[in-house]
Amino acid sequence: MKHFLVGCALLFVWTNLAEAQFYYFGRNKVQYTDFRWQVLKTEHFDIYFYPEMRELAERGAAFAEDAYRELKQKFNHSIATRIPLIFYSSHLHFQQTNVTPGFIPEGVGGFFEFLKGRVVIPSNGSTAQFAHVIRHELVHVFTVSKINRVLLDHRQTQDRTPPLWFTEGLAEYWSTSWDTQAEMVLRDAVLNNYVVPVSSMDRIYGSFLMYKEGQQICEFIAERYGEEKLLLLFENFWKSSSFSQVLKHTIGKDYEEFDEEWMYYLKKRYYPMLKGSDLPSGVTRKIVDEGFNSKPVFYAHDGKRELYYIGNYTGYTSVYRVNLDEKEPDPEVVIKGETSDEFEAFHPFQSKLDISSDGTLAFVTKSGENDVLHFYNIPNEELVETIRFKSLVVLGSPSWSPDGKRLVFSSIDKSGNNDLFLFDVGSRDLVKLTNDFYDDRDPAWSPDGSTIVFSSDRTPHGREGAYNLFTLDMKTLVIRYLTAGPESYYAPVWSRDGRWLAFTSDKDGAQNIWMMDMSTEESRKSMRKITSFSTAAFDPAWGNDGEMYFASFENFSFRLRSIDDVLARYDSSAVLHPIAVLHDGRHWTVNGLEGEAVVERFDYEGDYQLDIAQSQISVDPVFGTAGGAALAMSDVLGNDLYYFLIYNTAQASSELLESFNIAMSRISLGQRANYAYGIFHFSGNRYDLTDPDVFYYERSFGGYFALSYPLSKFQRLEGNVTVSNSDKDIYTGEIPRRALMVSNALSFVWDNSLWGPTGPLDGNRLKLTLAYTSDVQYSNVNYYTVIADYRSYLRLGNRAAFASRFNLWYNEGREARRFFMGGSWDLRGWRRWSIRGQKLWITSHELRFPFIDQLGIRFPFGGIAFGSIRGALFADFGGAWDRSYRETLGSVGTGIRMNLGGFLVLRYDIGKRIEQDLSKFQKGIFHQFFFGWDF
Amino acid sequence: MAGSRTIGSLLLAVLIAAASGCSGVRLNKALSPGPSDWTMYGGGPTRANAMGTHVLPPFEFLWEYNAQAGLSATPLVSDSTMIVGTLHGEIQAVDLRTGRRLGYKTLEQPIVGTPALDGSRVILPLSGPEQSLVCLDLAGGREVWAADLGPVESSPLVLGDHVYITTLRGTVHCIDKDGGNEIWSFDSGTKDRREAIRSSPAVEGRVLAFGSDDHSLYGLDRERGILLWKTPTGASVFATPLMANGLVIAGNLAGDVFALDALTGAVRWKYQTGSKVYASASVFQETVFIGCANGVLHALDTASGALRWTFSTGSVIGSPALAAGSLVYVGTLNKRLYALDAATGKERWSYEAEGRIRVSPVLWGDILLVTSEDKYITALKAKGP
Repeated sequence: MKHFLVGCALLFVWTNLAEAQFYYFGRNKVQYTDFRWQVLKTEHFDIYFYPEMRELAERGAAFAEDAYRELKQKFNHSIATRIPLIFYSSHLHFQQTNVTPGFIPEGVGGFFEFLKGRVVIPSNGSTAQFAHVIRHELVHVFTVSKINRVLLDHRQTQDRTPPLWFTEGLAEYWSTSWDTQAEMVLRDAVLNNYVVPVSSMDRIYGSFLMYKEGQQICEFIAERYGEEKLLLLFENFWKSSSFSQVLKHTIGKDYEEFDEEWMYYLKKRYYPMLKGSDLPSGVTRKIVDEGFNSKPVFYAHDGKRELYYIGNYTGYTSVYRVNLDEKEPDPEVVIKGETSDEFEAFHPFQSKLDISSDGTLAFVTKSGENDVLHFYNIPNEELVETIRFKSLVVLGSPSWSPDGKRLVFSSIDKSGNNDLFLFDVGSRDLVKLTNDFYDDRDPAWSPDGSTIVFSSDRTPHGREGAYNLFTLDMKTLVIRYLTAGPESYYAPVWSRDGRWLAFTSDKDGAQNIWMMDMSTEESRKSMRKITSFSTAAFDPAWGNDGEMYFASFENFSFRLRSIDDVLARYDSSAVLHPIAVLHDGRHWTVNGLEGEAVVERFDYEGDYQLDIAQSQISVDPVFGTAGGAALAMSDVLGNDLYYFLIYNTAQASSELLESFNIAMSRISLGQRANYAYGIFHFSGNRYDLTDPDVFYYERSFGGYFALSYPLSKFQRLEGNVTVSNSDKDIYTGEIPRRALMVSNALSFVWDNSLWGPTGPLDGNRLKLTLAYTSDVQYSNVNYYTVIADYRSYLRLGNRAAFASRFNLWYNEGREARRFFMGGSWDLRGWRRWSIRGQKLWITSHELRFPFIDQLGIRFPFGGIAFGSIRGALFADFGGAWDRSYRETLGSVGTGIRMNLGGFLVLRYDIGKRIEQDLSKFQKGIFHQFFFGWDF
Repeated sequence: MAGSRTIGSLLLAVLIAAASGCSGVRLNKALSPGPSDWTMYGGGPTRANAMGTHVLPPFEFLWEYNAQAGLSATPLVSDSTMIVGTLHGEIQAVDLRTGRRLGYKTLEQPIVGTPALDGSRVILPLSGPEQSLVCLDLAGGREVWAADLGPVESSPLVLGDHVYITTLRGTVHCIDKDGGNEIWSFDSGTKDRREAIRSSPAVEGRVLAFGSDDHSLYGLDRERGILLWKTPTGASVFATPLMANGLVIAGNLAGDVFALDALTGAVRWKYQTGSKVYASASVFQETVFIGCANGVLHALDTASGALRWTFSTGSVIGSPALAAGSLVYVGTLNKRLYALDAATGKERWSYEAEGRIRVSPVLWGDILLVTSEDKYITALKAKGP
């Protein structure tokens, strides 16, 4: 019964968007791009792609078939159904997918959706990374299928899966090698003593650290016990509902025993490293220690030395600067990101900043459909210009020419290739400098203007994901090797005099800063190590007088630090690596699909599958017996959804026909303008929540059309029209009422709020609605509605905020519906929904602050832990009336909130009502325990 | 009167139906062994996976049996009766002529390995920690004996008066088949390290051979349980060894197939398949057939290991091929069963099963039993004269 009601409620929400929108804010997943989907069928996969990325899709298809061949052997298993693979040529396109309804954060490289077994993967320009993600997600496909098979074989319910650390760790282990990034994270965790044992892995659920620890654990098991033990963890999965016991059955050790062995192994492996290397904090100068920081660039003007960079302290990624002449530099926001349409999102670890000689800061953000290039004049502190390129989707790492008239940057177009482009700021000419499938990034223009150095995977080692440095002669456009090895080189940056090139390399296992003397052909054949960190250094930036600034990784944060006397370090560096440069022109190619591997190609026209099918019979002492079914189906891309509901509330055979409740809706999400339409017939006994004394029979039928047009990620317009014939028979003695109602509503929604563990902490939310409802046939109903709902969240610190809400709900006219309030959601302390009226206002103010970060309770048989318990001080005021204003009510109090599992917030409030037109406090105090997010 | 007779008939039918599916295996006859019986994993003590029967495809559908749970054990056949062990822990008896269930008994633990038939008795390997080897009398429907050996996921071998079995605890046991008493046991582990044995024992002459997760193949004196030899292979051996012509032949998870001298354990030849070998080998005359996880079936010269031919199925081969006369049958995880010419490797016939095939086919007379992991056993009858 409960599920059925939930199903009905969901359908109701979908089919009555006009009413639903009154209650909801939310950002928009905007379908900017009109994708023309095609399907490529291979032996095991249905691959969905658009024509512009055909070559990439074919490479992906070949990778997928290769991965399938390998994984079926590792899993000793095959997949019984065809696997849908949905490819996007860039992350920005991927963020528009409707396969999942939620937003896709910057760091998500792809996902496997369990319901229909769909795999969705974007390219980021790197062929090796594309292959890695395909393989990673296919490990998930095999994992789910294998586990289901094992449980089914043993006639056990398929209600459990292995823990996430194992599934993600295995997906990493079987899809990529243990690379520098993984090594960096684990070294840091061991040396800073925050490795989380398997038995406590829930503490870091879903984090990057969990992925890498999981990968290391799988590697450790394979090396110490044999790789077949990973397969046996699946084969033995039926043996216990505890994965710790499954581990015990497989390798003879449960979590605790394994932790002891693994932790000892990690210490033996990493502690000796401190002898030959250092943690960054031990040997460098601190610039910024808080938050996540990257891509520093130095600028000196008017006697000031400043460092500009991309940082995130508050949850919003922004451009910050620090004054380097201050002893304790305090970060100052230059460009606040992720709250406006203009600076919708930064790409924090991908795209660097650059400042021209005249002080123009060039940087990239997402804005609308694609990335854009912004110019910010530092001396005048103003945004000068924003450049949009119609054909370029993702932009990266702009670098100024010495004269400040041109820029070179990397960009991914719709094909998915990442190439270098030259842009003339004056003439607006755009020239493509490279044009191939190699991933070209991090361009750096030499001070004499003759050369661009960039990082690329175009050496033969690129097949395994290694990036080397290349020079591009700006006169001849000839590309030459600067380095050529199986290691990776990134972030080249020239010294001001053009003699030195600093960059990062993981040649010695950890990513550190190296330098090369660029003055002669001979001097370019060697490089020297400038830093020897056990973790990693990123993004070197030259300062004045031999200073160098960079980002470093330590204690699981990205900090900005500096070193002095860089040239002295170069001279004294003992680590000198001769570079064996390959002959120019030695690149690599990747095989696409061979002719026979393509089974079929065609344009996508919709492939619909069932999402939910549920039937139910319910018996209720008041509403009688009802029986029915609900169906939902959608296409493989999630663009089109159909909902069907049918149930019958007849209590006698004579009522059968008129007691059918039927609703059909189609929702289209494939274009920028989302719309829904449907028809319905509802009949039965009703109980009006807004007016508890009214219990009535109603038969209504009609149709609706709803439209939602996102202006941007943060703003949208919504409109709807509903035509409904309503016959209402009120049981309390009033005469029956008939009406042919037409309802219209128009809303504007704005939401750029940032959420903490229990509710919003920053930003604003606004919803304005105008609506008109009238009975066009009998004039029984005729009223208009105005709703204004504004919420503001003022940040008082990283984790504290002052929240305010101002609401006005106004209905005026014949048979205008009443609004209600009271309870934990609005006017706290008052009985739930006890305050009613056709007009209603409320304002709430709340101080939100951290209360207890971690609460652990130990029992003799075990323990439980709660994280992030937050506190609140609040005051609410409001009133409701029909014709004449009655009184103002209020409440004040305090409370605590706790997030459970990331989706449920428990709230406990205690306080006093303010009664009788705010003239007196209640006697005693009220308590309220409820669930739900803060307003 | 007619009405009460009808009701009575219905009640009787219900009772019969209930009795036929009741929780108990009690055959109304003692099974009479025949020459084409398939009574243990691999068809016999040498685990040759071969039948002398010469039945040619095509086959036609005879019946399909739903075991209601996953199957990893090969069905056993004797006297027109099929015995099946399921991963849900049931032993089921089925009439081979009709595919109708004769009865079943639920054990407490899954049956991963293939049971062994000894007349009307069946020796059941169980995956549970206790009473992991159970002898049932199918005629009387009673438990004869049970032994606590630790979890068993391999297949027992019945030879003479003895039952031989390997365990996940890394031990090998010789049991008196009538009383269930232990004759001898062998421990492959050490105090510090103990690896499971998933490979089943094979016997030829006085040598009992098996593979282990400790990467080795072992040879024991089967009379006394004394180690004769231990030969490292470099990777875990899940597959049951095949014993033929004085050789012990098995593949490992590194893809190497080893042929060892059965008396000394010395490597006679070695062949790299290019993929993991989960499945046991089969042999017919002078050819060894061995399938691997990349879907390739290799036919090798028994004496030298020289490659005769390969056949690529396109999917994982996880079960032994069945050599039957001039043909070799092999099933794959892409649901397809192939019949190949044993001399040339040419495909002669193929059949798509209900689900992935990870159990070896069995031929009994002119009936081919194809087990697919979706709990079905399909009986196919040769169309030919």
